[in-house]
Amino acid sequence: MLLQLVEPGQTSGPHAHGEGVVVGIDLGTTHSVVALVQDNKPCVLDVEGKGPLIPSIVSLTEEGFTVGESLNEKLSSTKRLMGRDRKDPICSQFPQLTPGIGIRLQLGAHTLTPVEVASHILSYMKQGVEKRLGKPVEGAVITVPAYFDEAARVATKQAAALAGIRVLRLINEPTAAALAYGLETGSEGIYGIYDFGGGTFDLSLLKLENGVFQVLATGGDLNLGGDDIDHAVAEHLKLRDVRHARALKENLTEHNSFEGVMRNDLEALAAPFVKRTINITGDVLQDAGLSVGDVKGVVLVGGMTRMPFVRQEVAAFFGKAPLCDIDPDQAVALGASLFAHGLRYGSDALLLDVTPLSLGLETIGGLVEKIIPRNTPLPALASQEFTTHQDGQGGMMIHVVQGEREFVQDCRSLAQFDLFGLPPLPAGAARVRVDFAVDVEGLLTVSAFEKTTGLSQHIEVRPSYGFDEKTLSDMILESQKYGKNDMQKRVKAEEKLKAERLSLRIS
Amino acid sequence: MFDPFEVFGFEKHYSLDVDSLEKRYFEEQKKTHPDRFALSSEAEKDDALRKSTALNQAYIILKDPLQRASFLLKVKGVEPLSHDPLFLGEVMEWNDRLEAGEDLSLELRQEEEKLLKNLETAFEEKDDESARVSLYRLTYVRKLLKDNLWIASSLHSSQ
Repeated sequence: MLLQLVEPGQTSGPHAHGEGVVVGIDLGTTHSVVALVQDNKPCVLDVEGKGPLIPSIVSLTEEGFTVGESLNEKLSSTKRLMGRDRKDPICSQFPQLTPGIGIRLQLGAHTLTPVEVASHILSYMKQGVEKRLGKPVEGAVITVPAYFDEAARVATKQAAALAGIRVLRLINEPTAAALAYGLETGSEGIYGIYDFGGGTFDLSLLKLENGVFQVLATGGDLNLGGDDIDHAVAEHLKLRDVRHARALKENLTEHNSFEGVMRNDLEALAAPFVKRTINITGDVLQDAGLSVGDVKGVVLVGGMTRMPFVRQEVAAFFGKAPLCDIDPDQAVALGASLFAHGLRYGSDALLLDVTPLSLGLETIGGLVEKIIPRNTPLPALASQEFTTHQDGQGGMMIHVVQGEREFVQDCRSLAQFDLFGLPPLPAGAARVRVDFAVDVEGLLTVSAFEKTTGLSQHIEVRPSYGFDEKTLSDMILESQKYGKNDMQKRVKAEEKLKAERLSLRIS
Repeated sequence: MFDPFEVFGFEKHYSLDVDSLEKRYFEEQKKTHPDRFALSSEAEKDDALRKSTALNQAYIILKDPLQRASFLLKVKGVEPLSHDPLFLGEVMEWNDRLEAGEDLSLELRQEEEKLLKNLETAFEEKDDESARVSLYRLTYVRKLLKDNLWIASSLHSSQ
């Protein structure tokens, strides 16, 4: 494999600061786009003269792994698998999945993880830009769906690291789109960003004032996109190739009929999916305590918004014509390039983003205690104190989850670790404070402090999703005082924890 | 204890103009947000992260009348109310109606508005007892409003 691992923070060559370029990358489900600011204007880059849209497809040819549409064996839409695990129903859409733990996809004699597929695409773009401009890529702003969870964000960063790209920042796709429209300079008020792409749907509400770009609320569905409509069309018309269905869909955007299929037929098939996007839009508005009348304008992003039916439905819901003068396939990359430029050279605009999903801890009975609710402004910090539940309890299990549901089993498990070496105290006397810190990219760090004895024991867990999607990590609290007895305590505590898996009680 | 008023340099008063709070919040974030320090040293970045986080924490508390009131009472050493049997009867009644599928949003919003007024008056008149009663009731009304929203949206999606 022709991949080189470069740590983030390192640039790809011995180039002096200032020589290189910073780019914006829209790493999409069906296609990817790279853009940069030239002469103060953002523009998309046609990497290899095949158009600005790079299919997010990796195939195997005689020369090895190549990126782009291909007649050979290939992997596509793997963005849908970023940060997922085997249990995820989305896996059923990928026949190339190999048996075993973790997600690996068969491509010829090779198997690739979704992170590796993404890194091939990113690497292709990086090399293309460098060849085209003769300058190194110094850093990139990469976009992710606003609704991407912790695991998917981390996976995206891993892919960039594998491709030797320094990530200046991950930003949310809808926010990038709003930047592309220059909403941060000319406009004031609340705007909706309706982003219906190949694989995901996002709706974000942004408030713009004095160059500040405040995300009020965001919501979406990671498993709702144009691909679903293609599959529905293929199934209905009994087409063997989904690409055929996609071509039909695209042609019916401009024509009323194509190959004997009427636009109405397509719209009937698309309607349930579009209805779901409208329902989500309504929920996000409610979440923000806003009504349709509060929204000053709506921006359309994502290939699906080319469909006249989608535009009609959005216009009908908001009661106003949506903004769509920038190519919906390019808006995200253009906005990302503007953001990259701003980070590199300074900017008057400021982006204040929020957590897309609630973060919490497992408590008694498999319930979730939310520590940081969704739509909390970033960077965020919140703490919760826990106490022991049995006399002399030496350990405590801490299970970090993400999601809106009340029960752990319905949320995404981010990390699980055991705190050991608690001082032997009566039930309820030991105090453990758990801190959740989320940075501007939406990445989480969890720390735990044992407070009673002033030991100030402290661990940091940054949930890391290895290439095998290992989500459970077991960590021993390191104690200066009790260090030597750790192993002994651990055995004891494990017995106790086995007997009573969860002995956390909120104080 | 984390003091949100101190972060903004505000006097500890319950009454607060949300628009000027927001304006101030934006101004301060423009100075401290970590994105302003993308190319700075690690120490500067850490400092920015800490300040920006504190601003967000303070902003969340100050812009919400319930959290703001709760903080001010805590500072004064006023214990939160733990029991209000009279009101609990009303809550149970609302709950029953919600479960029966009734949309109570209008009624609950009116109740919320009334209690917020009471809360403001209580702080003006330094009536801690009345303040903690209003705060307690508001917490329940908020929860009911949330349940109401949930019921309304599940009805709407099942249609």
